[in-house]
Amino acid sequence: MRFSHLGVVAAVLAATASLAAAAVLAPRSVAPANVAPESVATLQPGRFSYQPAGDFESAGQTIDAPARATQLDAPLDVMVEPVSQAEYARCVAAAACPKLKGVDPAAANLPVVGVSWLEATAYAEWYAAATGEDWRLPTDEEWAYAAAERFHGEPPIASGDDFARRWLAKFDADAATARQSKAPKPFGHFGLNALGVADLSGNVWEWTNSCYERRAVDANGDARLLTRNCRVRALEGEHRMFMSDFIRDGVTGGCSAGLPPTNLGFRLVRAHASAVARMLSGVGALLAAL
Amino acid sequence: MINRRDLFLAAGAAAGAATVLTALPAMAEEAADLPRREVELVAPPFVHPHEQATRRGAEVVAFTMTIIEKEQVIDDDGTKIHVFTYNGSIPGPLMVVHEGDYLELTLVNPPTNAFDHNIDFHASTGALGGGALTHINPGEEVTLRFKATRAGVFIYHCAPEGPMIPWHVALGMNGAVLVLPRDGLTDGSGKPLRYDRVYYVGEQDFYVPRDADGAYKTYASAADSFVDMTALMRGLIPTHVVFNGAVGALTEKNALPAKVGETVLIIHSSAMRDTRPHLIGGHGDYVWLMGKFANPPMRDLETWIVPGGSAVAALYTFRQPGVYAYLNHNLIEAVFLGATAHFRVEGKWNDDLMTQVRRPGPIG
Repeated sequence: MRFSHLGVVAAVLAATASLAAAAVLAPRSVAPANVAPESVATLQPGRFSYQPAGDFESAGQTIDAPARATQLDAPLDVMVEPVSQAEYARCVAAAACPKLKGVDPAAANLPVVGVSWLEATAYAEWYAAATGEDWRLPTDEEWAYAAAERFHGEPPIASGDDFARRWLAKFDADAATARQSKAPKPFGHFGLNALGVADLSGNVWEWTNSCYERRAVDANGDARLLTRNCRVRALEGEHRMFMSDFIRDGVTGGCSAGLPPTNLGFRLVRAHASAVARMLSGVGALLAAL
Repeated sequence: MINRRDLFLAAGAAAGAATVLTALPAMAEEAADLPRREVELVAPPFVHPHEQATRRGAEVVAFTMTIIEKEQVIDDDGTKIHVFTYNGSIPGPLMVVHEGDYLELTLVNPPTNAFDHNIDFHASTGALGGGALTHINPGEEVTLRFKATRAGVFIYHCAPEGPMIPWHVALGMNGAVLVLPRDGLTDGSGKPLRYDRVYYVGEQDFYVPRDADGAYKTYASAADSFVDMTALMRGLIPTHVVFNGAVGALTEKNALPAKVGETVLIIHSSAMRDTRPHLIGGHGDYVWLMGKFANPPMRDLETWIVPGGSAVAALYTFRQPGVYAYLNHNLIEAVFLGATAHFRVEGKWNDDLMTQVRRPGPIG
């Protein structure tokens, strides 16, 4: 676990990452010839208020997930940009990722979209092996921490004993969110956040490794796990949602109520290591490749 | 080559011709002596104010519609096509009169348009539903009056010539007329039925050609799209099936509002394809299948059918709050092609009608 939970806080969400956890733009890592070096932002350990993903209940009623103070224990490197179409195409060329429609191998400045969690995970495994570094999808809380002031999560919904009121409130919150245009935007279009991470909560929703969970909150504020479904993963972006792991395009067509994500993409994280350790690791990977 | 319009014009000019389709009535027209009322049309899904039952005698109800050719975005991906519209909306506005009234329409084809158009009212009698008397070029207008002799919901649509007919209708030129019984709607055994709200849903099939990469093509003008689009139409598989002109036109922030206890009349038209409306979580309390009020309504329907080329009226009283999807229950068309609306219903939940006895949780 990279996070430790420090207990429930009364305040509702807002994921106010402490800016004391200042980001440091790390030097580009050394990478084997077949992968491009990554620009990464290093997240320093810090504490923030996090509203966990999943469905929560208390005393038999659906409630908003209680926000809690959460700590990032160790520095974490996060890709400044989502994985690009050109990067994904290299994984396809290495026969480690499935070929996808609409991916331009020359588009180094556009995010890959239309990827499922399965493909994002295949890319992470290939990229980790190719670089000899422990690249992986972030957890939902790591994503929230990296997003800092760009984190949206879920809108607070008025609680009450009438479930239809919660339902309508959620419907209204979704309806009030403007739909974004589908065409992927060049890197930098949505700007940097305070931690130096680019294009968060734009028109690409990003896969996380966090599974769907149902939890019951008791009188002490402890959220007991009831069930978990890992065929469904949390997506983060302009709003949080869960999506089946094989879906590449989350558009609902408006049948059931609920705001669909505009595009599905991803970025990776790795544990931060010193530049020297990184260099040695890169050299090791190169030697292994030879 | 002589087209049908030329034929009509020639026939009209031929003095003493035995059978001519002209504006000259064979029988005396009563409308001239009746009171005349002008009504401002409202864009769907809304409907202009009207009496549900009336004590007034027959009158002339006058409407004006301007034909607008324009570009319109029809889905969330920003797909844009050149459409033809009655009064700017797809479907065209709902016109409400009572049985025995005269519906008078002034149809305007502004000089900025590129095409000739007309209108065929299924509620009218003769002259191809008025199509033969309303053919107008850009820069022309025409006024048609017909007697509403049958109560029900009826579509109207553009019907110029040959391949122009399905093409104009597939580009959006269709709408509906509601002819109410003078005493209002009944359940078929004399019990009056009234509504608190009325919404007009027009189902529209679009056929947007794709390029070699599978992306929707855009065209400089409607005329430029004609060859590709009509070729696609002959395959009979639409790329979009939408309510009120675009995916999402009646969902989310455009959801149709209602309250628990309110009775809603839903008019649903489809100019070309058969469809099957369904209200998820609700019913059709009274449905005039085929849409004509001289026939008693059917009761308690789960799904009803709208034959292509007609409109149907369904009455429902909401009993639970929440979100209802109202859709074409070919769910492929509803979810992938767009044929979905939302009702957003306020009110108090009725535990007697439905209760979650046990919340989702681990088995056992």
